Order: sequence, then C-alpha cells, then structure tokens
Amino acid sequence: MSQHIPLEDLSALLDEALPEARAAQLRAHLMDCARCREERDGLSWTRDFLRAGAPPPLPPGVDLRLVLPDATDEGREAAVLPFPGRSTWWGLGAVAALLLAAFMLRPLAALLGLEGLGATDSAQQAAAPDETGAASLELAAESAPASGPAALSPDMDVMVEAAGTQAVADARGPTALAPLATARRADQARIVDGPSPVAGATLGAEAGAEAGGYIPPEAGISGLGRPDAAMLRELALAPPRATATALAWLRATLAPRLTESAPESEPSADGDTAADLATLTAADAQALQLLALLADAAGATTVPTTGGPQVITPTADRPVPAVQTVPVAPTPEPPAASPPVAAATGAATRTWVPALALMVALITLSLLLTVRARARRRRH
Amino acid sequence: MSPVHPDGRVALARGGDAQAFNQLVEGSQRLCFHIARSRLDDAESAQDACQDALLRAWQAMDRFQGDEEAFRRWLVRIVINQCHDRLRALGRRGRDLSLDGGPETDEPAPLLPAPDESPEAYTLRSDLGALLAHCLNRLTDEHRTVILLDQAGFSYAEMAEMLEVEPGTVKSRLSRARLRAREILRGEPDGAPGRWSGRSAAAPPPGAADRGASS
Repeated sequence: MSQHIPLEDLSALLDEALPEARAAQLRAHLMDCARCREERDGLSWTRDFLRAGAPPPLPPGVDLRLVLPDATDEGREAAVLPFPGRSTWWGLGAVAALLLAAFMLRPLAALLGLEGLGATDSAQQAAAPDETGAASLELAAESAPASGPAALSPDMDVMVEAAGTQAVADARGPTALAPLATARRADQARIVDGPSPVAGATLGAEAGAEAGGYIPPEAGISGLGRPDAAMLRELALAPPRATATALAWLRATLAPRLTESAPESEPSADGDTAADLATLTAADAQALQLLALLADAAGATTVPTTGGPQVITPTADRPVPAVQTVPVAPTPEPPAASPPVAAATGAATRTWVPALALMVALITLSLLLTVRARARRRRH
Repeated sequence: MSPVHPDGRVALARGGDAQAFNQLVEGSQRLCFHIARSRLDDAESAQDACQDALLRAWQAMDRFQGDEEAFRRWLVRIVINQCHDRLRALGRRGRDLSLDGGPETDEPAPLLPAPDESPEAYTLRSDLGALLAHCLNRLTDEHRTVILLDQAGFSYAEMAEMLEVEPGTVKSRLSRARLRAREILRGEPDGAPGRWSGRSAAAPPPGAADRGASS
C-alpha cells in the first residue's frame, strides 16, 4: 500500500467503525508509515480530549427541567391570570375605565345633594377620623362588585367619600400630587374657613358647567335654594368621590387576584390598605396618579373667585358633604338595600346611559387589545 | 441529593414522579442543549426545543425501557427530532450542507466547582472545560453536533439515523470535525491549510513509500 490513510478512515479506525478487513489493512500500513502514525496519534489525542470532557455548561438563564402545566409551581403561577399591571394594555384599560367611571359617577355625586346627603342623619355627620376612610373603603370594596358602578347607591357613595381622599393619597405616595391631596383631605376635615388656596381652587364654577351634560336639571344650583357656594363645593368634590368609588370598585375587582385568600383576610387598618395598594404595580400606580390628576383637573378648574378664597360655612341642614362619613359600624348594612338613584330622577338616567355605553365600549376595546397583545407575546 | 438508585429513578419517573424525571434529565441537559443549539439558530429556540422534548419524553415515559444511559440517548434523539421538526416548520430542511456557520460569539458560562471538589481538581477541570468550550465554540454547528454525539457515545449508525444522513457522511464529518478541533487546540487560525488538506486525493509525498517499506 503506497497511499497514506485518508483522514476519515484514520478517524473511523480509532472508533473501530471500519470493517475488519479494512481495519487490518490500515493497521498494517500504520506499522510501516511513521507519518500516518503521527497523524493517528494526533487525531487520537484530540478524540480522547473531546470525549473526556463533559459538554460545556448551560448558558446563564437556561434551565432545562420538566415544567408541567399543573404540577409544578411555575405551571401553577402561569395558570393564574397575570396581574394586569404587567401589561400596558391593562393599564390603559384601567385608566379608561376609571376615567369613565369617574365622569359617570359625577351626576350621581351631584344627585347626592338631592337624595343621599339630604337623607343622611346629621348626627352621623360629625367629623369622622381619617381612619374611617379605610374602613369605608373596605365596605365599599365588598359591596361594589355586586352592584357595579352603575348601580351605586347614594349611601355607598357617601361611604366611599372619605375613603377616596385617603386611598388616593395613599396610592399617590410622595409625588407632586400628594400636597394637593393632603390639602383636600384637610379641607374635607372642615378646615375650610381658613384662607386655603386649595379650597378656593376647588370651588369651580366651571367644574359644574363642564359636567353639565351629566347633571340633571333637577340638580340645578338654584333649584334647591341652597347657597351657591355649597353646591359648587359639592360639585368640586365630586371628582375625588367618584375617584374613590372607582378605586374601590377596581380594588374589589382585583383584590381576589392579588391575594389568593382575599375573602378571609380583609385588612381593616390603614397600613393594610396602604400595603394592599402598594402591591399595585408601578403601571397601576401611574394609572391612578393620572386618574387623580385628571380628577383634580376636572374639579379644580380655574375659579373666577371674586375677592380671595371663598369661605364655606357648613349649615345645619346642608353641611359640607366632605364631612359626611359613615362611622365604622360593626355590621355594615349592605348598600344594595338603598333605593337606587336612577329611580329617583329619570333625567339622571337618561344622561348617564350614553356614558355607560361608552364605558362598556372602551372596556371591550381595551380587553380586545389586551388579548391581541398577549397573543402576540405568546407567538414570540 | 437523596441517594436514589440509578435504575430506581427511571422506574420512579416512569411511574409519574416528575422530580425523578428531572433528576434524570439533569445528567443530560447540557448535552441536549448544546446539540439543540448546534442544530438551531439561537439559544432561545434551542431551549424551547429542549423543553418540548422534555414534555414529549415525559408523556412517553411509560413506554420507555432501559436504564439511565439508555434514557440519555433516548432523550437526545427526541431533542434532535424536535429540532428537525422546528426546522421543517421554518421551511428549511436542516443545514446539513452549511459548513461555514462561523465561530460562536457567545462565550461559555464559567464553570462552577462541584460541592466535593478539591481546588486542584477544579482548576484542572475548569481549565480543561474552558479549553473544550473554546474548541467547541469555534467549530461549525455540524461539526459540533457530531463531536457532541460522539462524546455522548453514539455509534456512526445511530448518528446517521438521528441526523438523517448517510453513515459515510457521519464518518467524514466526524473526522473533519476532529481535525478542525485539533487545529483549534493547536492555535491554528481558521481556514489555515492543514496538513490533511487534499491529502486523501493527493499523491503521497516522495519517499513516503520507501520510508514505510524500510521500517
């Protein structure tokens, strides 16, 4: 044999993958050919080196384990509907829903001046401590999903009222909005006599005009013979109240997703509420901030005040609505028992029906977008 | 780790114990991943293919017969099949002809010492491991695949079946992969004319036959 051994035969010879006759022939050649022996030795060393080592480690982040959809922790986590905060679309949808809920509830808040507040016992209207806010929020959160925003009763709105500023202030955190919220809360605690610029600013004549489309004629400023300032004050307070209602509704809707044992562990203290709200993701916090900002903008539109801040003196029969907070009751009666507002005034019904339709449409749209975004993500 | 008898893990996994199954997989996941990585374009696809393979293996576990070594080879087959399915889904029929995949750009992850390993052993192992990773990373995907399969102990016939090529192709490809690995280990640049270039077809150098005959 005069030719040197081809590479692949030499390699296969090392692997004993050649027919015996051919292998014997090559071995005979190797006995005689120093160069082929040298090549074989080099190849053999390489082969042994490559075979001796284990495959390189996995790159970071790669973990190959069986992930069963319903038997492992990961699978179980994936089975749970992810909290909306992860998705921008959810955030947008929440903003839209909250926004519309806020505007929709404005007429209801205005109606409170007619029905809800008038019926409230003045004994209960003593200035409640801020802690009641959280309790009222809990109460509202429990009852809200059953009734929905459209069926909010006046009593419930009153209950939510104090919680509103509380929750908004909690959700905002140390932002630029916080001073405003604090000021408003202080404002609601009947510090309205002082020259508070916020008090003046929130008394928006334009706020009432702006929401005029939703305000039934019966709720006219002069129709009740009330002081104009008090009515305006109430209108100005509508946004936070509506905000609170929407917040409570949102929270009650989302609470079961936040904690698996939500029904058992209902937080009652302020800290728990704050902690619950803190579990909202940054996107939701932003949404809430935006909502609060919009509510403020709606309520605190420029006021053509004549001669400094207005001073509101609560009267005996028509006090400032902000102080009307339901004290913490051991057994809160369900607000569903209250007469619906829509039945009180047909005009109000006519006005908020389009708003409801618009809200439903927007929520549907945002849900559709969410589904699409998720499908796109799954495809990747 | 609990001292489970090797065959006991297979039996447990066959009986539906996902933890035992994952322990079985642990010994093969590097091989599976790197083979999938060599067949597919990117690490993400490779991981997905491996996950699909794991699920399939888990579902077919009751039909599996054999020990842990057989399980490893079985799993690698499933991984390669998954890779082929993916390539088919992408409209490509493998990349058997592309030998110019180019060197890998991603550096291998650092080796971590084993719990009971002495520093000397770890140094030796990590040096060798780094060298091996360096070598494998510079091979083409096809070459790396056969090197890894050879490392895993597959025969030429098995490799040919798994890669859906002729046994002669495996033989040729493996020999070239080894040659290239040797060049890399020697520090020879990519594409340098090796000593084997054209050798099998070329005439022997003058005096070779004489030298062979004289000794």
